[in-house]
Amino acid sequence: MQTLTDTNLQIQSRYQLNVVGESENLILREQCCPVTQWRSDSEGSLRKVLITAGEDFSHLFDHLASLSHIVVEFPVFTDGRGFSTARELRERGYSGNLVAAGDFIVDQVDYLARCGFDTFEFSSKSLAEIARRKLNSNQEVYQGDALQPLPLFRRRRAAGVI
Amino acid sequence: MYQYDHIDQAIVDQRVIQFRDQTQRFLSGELASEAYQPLRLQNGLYIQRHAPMLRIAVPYGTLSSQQLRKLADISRRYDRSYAHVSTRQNFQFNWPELARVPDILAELAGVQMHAIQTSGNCIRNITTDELAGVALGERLDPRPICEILRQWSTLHPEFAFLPRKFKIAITANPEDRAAILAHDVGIDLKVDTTSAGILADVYVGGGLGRTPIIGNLLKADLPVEHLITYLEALIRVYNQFGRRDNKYKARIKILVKATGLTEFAERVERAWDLLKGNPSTISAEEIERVSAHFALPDYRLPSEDEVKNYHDRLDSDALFSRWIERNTRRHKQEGHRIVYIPLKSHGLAPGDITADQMELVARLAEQYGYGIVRTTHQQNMVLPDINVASLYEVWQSLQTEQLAQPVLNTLNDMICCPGGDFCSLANAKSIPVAEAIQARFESFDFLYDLGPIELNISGCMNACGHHHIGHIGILGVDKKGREFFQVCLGGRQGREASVGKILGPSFEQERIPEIIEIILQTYIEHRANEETFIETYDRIGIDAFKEAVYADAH
Repeated sequence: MQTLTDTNLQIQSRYQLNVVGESENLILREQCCPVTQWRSDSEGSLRKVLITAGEDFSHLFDHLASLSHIVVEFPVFTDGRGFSTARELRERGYSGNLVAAGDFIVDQVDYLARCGFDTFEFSSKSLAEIARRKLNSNQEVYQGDALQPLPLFRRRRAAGVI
Repeated sequence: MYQYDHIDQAIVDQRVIQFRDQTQRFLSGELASEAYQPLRLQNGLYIQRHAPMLRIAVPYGTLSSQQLRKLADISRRYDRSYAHVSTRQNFQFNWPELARVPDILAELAGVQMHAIQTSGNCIRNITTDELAGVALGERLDPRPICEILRQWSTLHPEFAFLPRKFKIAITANPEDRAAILAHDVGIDLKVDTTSAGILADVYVGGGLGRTPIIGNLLKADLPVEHLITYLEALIRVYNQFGRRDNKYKARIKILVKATGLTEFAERVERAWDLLKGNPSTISAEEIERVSAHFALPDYRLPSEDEVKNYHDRLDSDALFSRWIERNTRRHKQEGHRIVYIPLKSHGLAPGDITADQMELVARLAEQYGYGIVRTTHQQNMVLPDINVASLYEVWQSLQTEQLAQPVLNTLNDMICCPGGDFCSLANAKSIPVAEAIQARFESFDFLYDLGPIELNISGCMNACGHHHIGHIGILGVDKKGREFFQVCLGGRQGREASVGKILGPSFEQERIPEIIEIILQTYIEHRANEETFIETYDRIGIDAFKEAVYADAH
C-alpha cells in the first residue's frame, strides 16, 4: 500500500470529487470484497467492492443500489479498461462512490472524472494538488459524459451558440 | 470546409496549454519519461531515430490554402523546409526540436489545426475519400459525418488508453478510395431510398501490420444518427476485451477473429442496448449545421471562348494534353476538373513536399481552386475544383516546382513509408529502394505501356507503406543484421481488397530494381489484349512470376 498524506480535497460538481490522501476517509482495499468473490446474498454486509482490470462485474448490475463504494484498480496507467468499467457502472445507475486506485497518473484525472470516478487515491500531497487544479479547470469538451450527459452539439444548441 | 467556432478553438487552445505544461514537466524531470510517452504520442509526437517526429492531423485530408501556407512556414522556421504526407492523409515533420513542439502546436492552433490523437493507442485521425464532394458517382458527401465523428473522437475520455491504435475510414462512393476494408472500422455511407436518410454499413477488423486481415461487415444499414452510440459500444467492447499482453496481437482484428464475428456482433449489440438513443444520438440539426460548412463552392461555368481555348490547347500542346489525361480527373461539376499533384519528384522521398512546393500549391488553390487542397492515401495532393479555363496556367505553374510529372497511377506513383532513414522501428531503408525503382523505370512510354500498377513499399512488418495491398508489395526484413526485401504480388485495395502472396525468398536491396523488371517483363509477355497487371496476375497466378524470378536458382 502506498504511503498517503492527510489531503482530502473536495471539488463541487455533479458528483463530489474527492482527492483522497491519508485520512479516515481512505477506502482501504482490505474493506472491499474482491468482485470475483462478491455474491448478491452478501447484500448489506459487503457494500464495498474492488474491481481489478479484466474482471467480470456483470453480477453487480442488479445490486448497484446496495453498494456504497466501488474501487477500480489500475494495474498500469496505460491499461484503459477501468475507464469503460466506470462509464458502464454510471450508465447502469450506480450512484455511490467510485474510486480510482492503483497506477493511474495525474494527467488522467480529468478523463477519469468524466468517466464517473469521484474519488482518487494519490501517493503524495503534491500529486493530489495537481489533480485538484486539473479537476477545477473546467475545460470545454465535445462528448457527453458522466458529469455532463449532453454532447457539445446539444449544449451548443441549448446555449444558442449556433 | 469546417470552420471552428469559439468553442472548437478553445478545445484546441486548451490542449496546447496542457501539452506545454506536460512537456515542461518532462524536460524539468518532474514527469517520468514513461508517463510522458503516451501523453506526447496523443499529441502526435514520436521520438525517432534522429529527432522527434511530429504528425499533424489533416482531418479527412482537407486543408485550406491558409493552413498549407502555415505548414510551409513551420517547416522553414522549425524544421528543414519540407514535410511528408502520410498514407493516412496527415502531415509529418521529421526534424522538430522537442522543446519547441508546444510552440509549433500553438502556431497550428492559430489556423485551426492540431496534432491531437495522430498517434498513441486511441482513435486516430479519421480518413475519407480524397475526392469527397467532387467525385462522380458519389452517393453523398461524407465530410459532414467525418467532421461529426472527428469532434466525437477528439479527446474522448473513455478511449484514450485502448489496447492499441484505432483507425476509422469512411467512404460514400461505390469506388472505395479510403481503403475502408483495411481499417479497424470502415464506414460505408448510403442514402436510404425510402426515407432519404443516411445509412451506414459498418465494417470491422481490417488492418495491415503483422497480421493483415480484410474487414468484415458487422452492421448493415445503421441509421446514421446511431453512429456515435454504436461506435461507442463497439470500441467499449474492444477496450474491455482486446488483448493487452502482446502489442502485436492487440488490434481489434485479433479480438474479432478470436471471438468470432457473430459473437463479437452480439457483444456489441448488448453493449449498445445500454447506449442506444442516449443524448449522443446525432441530431438532424447537427448534421444540418455541419453540412452547411461543406456547401459546394459557387462554381463559375467557363465561357464558350474559354472552353474553346482549352480544347485548342489540348489539340496543339501534346505535353499539356498528356498531363490532362494522366493527372486530372472528371469533376461532377461541368466546366471543372480535379487536378492531382503527385508528390513523387525525383530526389525526394514519396510523399515529401518542400516548403516552396507547399507555397505554390497554396497559391494555386487560392487563385484558382476556391482555397481548398486535399491530401491522399497514395501520398499525393489534389486541387479538387479547377475551372477548365485555368488548367493551362495551373499546369505551367506546377511544372516550375516539378509537380506536374504525369505519373499518376503508374508504377512510379508508389506508396512508401519513411523507413529506416527516419523511423526507429524499421528493419530497412525503404526510400532508396523507391528511388532506385523510379530511376530504372523513368521512361513515360514504358510506364504508360505498363498501365495502372500500384507498388507499395514498407520498411518493416508494421506495414505503414501498405505493402500487403499493393499489386506489387515490397517489405524490408532483417536477415542477420542485413537489410533484405521480400516481394509479394496480387494485393489490392478498394472493395475487392485482398492481401498479396509472398513470391519467395527475399533479396538484397541492390537486386530489387532488377527483380521488379523481371516481374514486369513476365506481365508484358503474358498479358492478353488490354489486360492490366493485376488482371494478368489473376489469370496466370503467382507461379509464372516465381519461375521467372527464381529461374537462376534452379
